[in-house]
Parts: sequence; C-alpha cells; structure tokens
Amino acid sequence: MASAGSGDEKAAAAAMITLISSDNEKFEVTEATATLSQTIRHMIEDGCTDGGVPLPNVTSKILARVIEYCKKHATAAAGEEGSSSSFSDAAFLEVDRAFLEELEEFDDAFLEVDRATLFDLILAANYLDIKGLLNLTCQKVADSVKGKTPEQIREMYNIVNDLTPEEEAEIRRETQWAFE
Amino acid sequence: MEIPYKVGSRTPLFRPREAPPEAARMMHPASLPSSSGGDDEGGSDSDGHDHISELPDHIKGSILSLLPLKDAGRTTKLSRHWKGVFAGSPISLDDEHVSPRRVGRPRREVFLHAERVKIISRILKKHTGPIPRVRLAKTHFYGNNGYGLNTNAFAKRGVKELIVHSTDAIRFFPAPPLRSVTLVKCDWFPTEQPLPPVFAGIKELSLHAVRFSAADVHALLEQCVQLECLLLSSYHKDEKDRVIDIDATEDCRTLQIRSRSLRSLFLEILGLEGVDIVDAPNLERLLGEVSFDKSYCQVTLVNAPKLQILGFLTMSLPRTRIVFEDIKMMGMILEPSRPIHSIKILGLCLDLCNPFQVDQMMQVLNYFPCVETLNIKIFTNASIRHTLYSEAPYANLLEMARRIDCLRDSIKTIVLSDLWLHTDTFALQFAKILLESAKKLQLMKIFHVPVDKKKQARSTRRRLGLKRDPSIKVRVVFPRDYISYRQVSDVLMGTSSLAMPNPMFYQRTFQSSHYIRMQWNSYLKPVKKYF
Repeated sequence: MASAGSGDEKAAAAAMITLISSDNEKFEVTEATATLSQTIRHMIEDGCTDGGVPLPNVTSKILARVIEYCKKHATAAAGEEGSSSSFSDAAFLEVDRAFLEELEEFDDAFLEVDRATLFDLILAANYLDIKGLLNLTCQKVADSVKGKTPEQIREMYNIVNDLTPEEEAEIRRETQWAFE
Repeated sequence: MEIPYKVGSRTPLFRPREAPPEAARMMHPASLPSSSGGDDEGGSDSDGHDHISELPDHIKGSILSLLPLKDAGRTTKLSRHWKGVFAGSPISLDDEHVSPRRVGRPRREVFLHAERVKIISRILKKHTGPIPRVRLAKTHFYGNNGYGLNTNAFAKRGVKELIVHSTDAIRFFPAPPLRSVTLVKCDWFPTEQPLPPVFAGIKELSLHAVRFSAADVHALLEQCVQLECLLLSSYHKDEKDRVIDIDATEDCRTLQIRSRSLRSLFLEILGLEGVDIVDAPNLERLLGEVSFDKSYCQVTLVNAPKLQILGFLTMSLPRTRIVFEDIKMMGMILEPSRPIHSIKILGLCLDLCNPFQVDQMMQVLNYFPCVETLNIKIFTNASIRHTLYSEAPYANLLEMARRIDCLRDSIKTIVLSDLWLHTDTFALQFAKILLESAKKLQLMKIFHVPVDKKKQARSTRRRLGLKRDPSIKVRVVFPRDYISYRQVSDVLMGTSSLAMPNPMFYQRTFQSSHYIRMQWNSYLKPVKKYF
C-alpha cells in the first residue's frame, strides 16, 4: 500500500519517544505514533519527554494495546495528509478506500476484548486524549446499550438499582417519552 | 512495518488478539470472575463489576450522546447515580425521534404535533447539557397560529447545527456557537432585513426549496461575513399536481457573487441564466445544476483565483445545439478568454450522440490545462443510441485528444458516468480515446447504466481491449453504487460540504434524474418516516 509505506518512512525518520507504564515497562514509539495522543503531543511541545514519559494511569497491558492502535492510525493519518494535499483523488477513491476498509477491520478486531479491558481502554484514551480511540470505544459501549431496556442494561453491566419505587415512578413520569 | 520494541523485555510486545481473559482479571483484583462469567466472546463477559458507572461523567455523557435520544433518556432509570447523567450529556435533538410509537390507527397530526411540542419542551426544561444538533422536521414554532415551540428555548444551549423544515417563520435565537443552518421548504425565509445577527457568525448555509430573489442572495452574502459553504436550491415540486414550480424563481435570473469568506458554492436554481463570480478570493468550489430544460446558465469568472473544483459545464452551446425533444441538458456554460490554471477537478456533461459536443469538449479542455480529475456525465438518448455511432465523424478525435495539454500532462482520474456501454459502441470508442490519449491516467471509473452486472463489466473490459493491450496500465473499475433512500438526502444535503474530496463523484446521482428527484421530493415533504 503506497500511503502506508510513505507513512512508515516518514515515521522512521522522526524521533523516538519512550513511554513508561504504571508498572514501569518501557515502550519505545515514534513521534508520529505518540502524537496521536494530545497529552503526549503537549508534553513533546513543552520539551519534557527526555528520559521517557511516565504514564502512571496506564498499565503495560493497556498501553501495549493503545500503542497498537496508534501505530495503525498514525500511518492512516499520514496517508490521508498525503492524498489531500495533492488533488489526485484516485488515491482517495481507490487506494485509500481499500486502506480505510483495512483500518475498519483492524478497529473491529481491536475491539474484540473483554469488558474490563474495554473500559480500561476508554480510561486510557481519555487520559491520553486520543480522540479516535475514545470515540471508537465509546461507540462500542453505546452499541451494546442500544435498544436495551434498563433492566437488561443493569444486568449486562452489573449496575445495582438503588432507586426506591417512588423515585422510579417519578423518573418514569418525567421521561415518559423515552419509554413509549 | 516498523515495530516499536519494548525496552528490557524478553517477551514479544503484542499479545495475540485472543489474549486470555484471565490476564485482564488479574489486573483487577476486585473483578473476580463471577459464576456467570463463562462466555468471553466479543466482550459480553460479566465479571460482576460495575465498570460503566465508574467512568467519569463526561465520558458517560459522550456515550449517551452516541445513542438515539430515547435510548439515552431511558438510562435515567438505571440507578440513582445515572439519574442525572442524561440531563448533563450532549444530545442531538430530532423531533422525529421523540414521538411515541403507536399501534393501531394513525392519529391526526394536530394531536401528534401537540404531543411532540409537549415532549420537546419537557426535555428542554429538564436537560441542562449542550444540544449541538437540532433538527425539527415536523414541529411548528410560535407562528401565525400561536401554538408550537418557542425558539428561545434553544438559546444558550450550544446549538451548532440547526435544521428546520418549517412553514412558520421562526425567530432566530441568539446562539453564538451556531455554525450551520439548513432550511428546507421555508417559504418565509428571509424574513427580515437586515438578517438576524446570528447570521453574521454562521459558516454553512443550505437553503432547499426556499424562494429567494437575487437581491435576497446578494444581501445574504453581504451580511453573512463568515459564510464558507452556501447551497441554494430552489427546486421543488408542487405537492399536489407534481409540477415544477418555475415561477418561484422568476426574480432570480442572474446572481452576482461577492464574498471574501465563501469557499464553496452550490447552485441549483431553476431558470437561472447567469452567475458572475465578481469577487470571491477564497472560492474553491463552484458546483451546480443550474438550469432547466433548454436554457443555460452563463458563468463568468471575474475574480476567483482559488477556484479548484468546477462543474458541471455543459457542452451544448446554443449555436451548435441540436435539440432532441426528450433530452434535458442541465449545466453551466463557461467561455473563458484564457486558460484557467487553478482548476483541478472539472465536471463536464455531454451528449455522446451529438458529434459537435465531443468536438466541443476537446476545445473546452484546452482551457483547463491543470485538471487532475475529470468527471464526465454522459447523456444519451435511449432511442437513437444504437444508430448514431456508425455515421459519426470521429476518426480524427484521437488525434485531437492527443494534442490537449491536460490529457497529456495532468489528468490522473477520469470518471465516466452513466454509459450505456452494452449497446453503445461509440461510448466504448470514447472511453478508448480517453484511455489512449491520457498519458498520466491512473484510474478510470465507469458507471454503467442500467446497473451493471459482473458479466457486463467483463465484456466491457474485453471490448476496451484492456486484456490485449499491455501498454494500457490504467486501472479501470466498474463501481456499483446503489443509493439508499437515506443516502440520497445525505448526498444532496452534503454536496456543498468542504469535507468531500471530489463532490462530483457524489453529484453524479443528480443525473439519474427521475428516480433521484422523486426521492428528493419525498424527502422535502415532511412525511412519516420510521427509523
């Protein structure tokens, strides 16, 4: 794939950044990959990434997954930039479409995780401020809730119902429209 | 692929995707597997832990904002903690999503409307979070008859996008973040002069089936100082007798575009005779289906230095026109005095049955030496397409095509739409001429009519000589694009959007006029829809 290839070359030339997870494991990634995270981008801009970026809120297991996501999407972003700057939308229409499909497949496979990991990914994406990953994971949760009754959602996510019958009746009255 | 490696670790960095779920649980001592946690496929496991309630509120809010309104509203009943989450989350308010589902006899609109107004007012009263998108397709406002929604309820609610199908005039509320306004069938617009102050801040404005005069448009451009995308479509049919309402645009014959902010302009105005781009230093896109029947719209570019996308130009100039009774050509005419170097994407429509038009096309292309993508919409008259090719004087066309700068040097993509390839030999010849003369061509897309089959694409490929001729390196594809009902409105609504890399690729849908038009008209009508 042309766009992916050029992205890699660009990335390889860039500086490497070391990320340190909460359990002290070190991950070395390219700057292009790391800057998908706005949090890290700001750190790089402030020049405080020497000696590694400590990420006390992210475990190595989750960080590995996050990096996997960023790597894939960093090459995608590089490809996109390449094609929009020139007007050859041949790239957009065909090459990139194939690439986008591949990306979609990657995302789908990426989300095949157990629930604890999914929520850890959401928290990590929120902490690292990675928009794409946050949207992706939130969408996954939203999809799982869609069309379900409150009882089903409670069961699925182990939510304890601490509402009294009176409160419940009141809520039902107030948001009648949602239950019809 | 470069692989980031883990410093000081023996194990490979990435676990396979099917990581044992036990690993996840070990990270969370509190979340020991419950007795029911047997199935781990697709994240449907249950470990007895309430992860979702522990998320920060703003994430819960963004999850709710991804849900349909009713689903989001139902989460208030989950627990005491969830009671208040919905009220603070961003919502997209669509009045078609709030009406109660009823079984049995449909009720009268007047009751349904009152009910919707009640529900929306109730939501607005309870809800404190931002409402980035508001779409009101069926709800009326405090207007002539005094019932309906009060638009002031939307003030200060963070409304960025407003879509209104309303026959009653609305009072535009002060909403600083408002950037996009779409008005469908709003006969009352524009209501006042000068426009409400909120218009000074909007970036996108789409007017569908709205009556406006040239003076209105001029005033609008003058007052919307930040406007980037403007879509003007006067097209609509009378609902009863399904007649195109051409009188509606009587006073909109010529437009003069003066705007320093405008980047994209889409015109679909019946009977429009001329557009002068007098001063639009930032205009990048000029698109349109601007004429009706046998009249044409004359485009004059005075100052549009950044114009990159232009279409569709028609080839049929009055002096060379041969009128076949049932062919309706639509498009713009441009007669530039010198080559325009800024244009990168060009749309042309031509009638392949008319030899003059092909000749004309070659001449027109000379004015656009830097075009990279050429979109060609082909009209053919079904009744004569079998006969004309034999008598057409096309022998020297290839020679002509080879002398055209943009074909030789810059064109990388050609999109041919609506070719009756299975019967029309000349269409094949035409495609072949383009294939042979465009030296830098990378991709050719051919849309068949009627909707193609695999076999047909194979036969076209063979007849184009793609297999025999190894000198042709171009990728030729035969996309099949079916457009669903919902997509039609998205396509038509979004044509002026700057996000589309090649708007004409989508715009080809305009050509399959009858079907699309019918769909579009039914969309314009506030009809019952079930989502």
